[in-house]
Amino acid sequence: MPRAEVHNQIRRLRFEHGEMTQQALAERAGCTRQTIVVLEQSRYVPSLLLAMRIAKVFGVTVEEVFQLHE
Amino acid sequence: MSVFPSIALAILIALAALAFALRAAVPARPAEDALQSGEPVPLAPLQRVSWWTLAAGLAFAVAATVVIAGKGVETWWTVDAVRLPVTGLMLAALLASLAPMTLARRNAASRGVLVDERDLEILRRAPSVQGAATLVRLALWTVVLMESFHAAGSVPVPFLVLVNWSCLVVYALALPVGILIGYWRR
Repeated sequence: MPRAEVHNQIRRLRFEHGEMTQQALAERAGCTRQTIVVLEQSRYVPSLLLAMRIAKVFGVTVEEVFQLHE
Repeated sequence: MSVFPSIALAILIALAALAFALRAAVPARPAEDALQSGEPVPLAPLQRVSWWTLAAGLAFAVAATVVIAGKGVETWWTVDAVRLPVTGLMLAALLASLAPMTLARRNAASRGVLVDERDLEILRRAPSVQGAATLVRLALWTVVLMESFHAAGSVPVPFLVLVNWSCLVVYALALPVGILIGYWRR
């Protein structure tokens, strides 16, 4: 199976949503700020539930936030 | 020589470590600002509690070890004024190790998120370190006791009690170690 990585647009989306802080995003998505930090660094792949919550915070689809790179 | 100065010192160290552990159980609120490039990732609440738990547990365990090593196993076993404080230190080390679990349980009652899915995943994997650490500890004790008392034909009871205590404390301290390894890898 080819090596796969999940990249995301969280940093850009935060910028586009009025410079939303990591803490504010974490509180609205129901996770810790540290998880947002490692997500932005692509060091953690979230559960489907957290991915959907983050997408919901930004008002976009999951695919617009997370992309699979193989 | 009186044993009280060393016991008093051990208790003082234990109390200081307990105070630090209690302070760490109240996670500080992280800064609102986003990370600057190159800035290290801030500690997660569970990670911070694990560091303090490890520090407190180690302080208790080292204090107990210093008393036993300083006074000798025979004195520790026969003198109440030595044995009872050591028992207290060992129990304190075990109790300190409960802090990460307590934080995870407090999560549900908290308004903010103290422990999220990533933290829980790390917490779930940490016990594998406990198993390995306890196995290694037991293997070391078995070899040392076998070689030390093979000729005598039996192992004195105080050493068997020490085996129990040390395995319990190692098992307890391996939990924060496992959690910290989890954060380091992820």
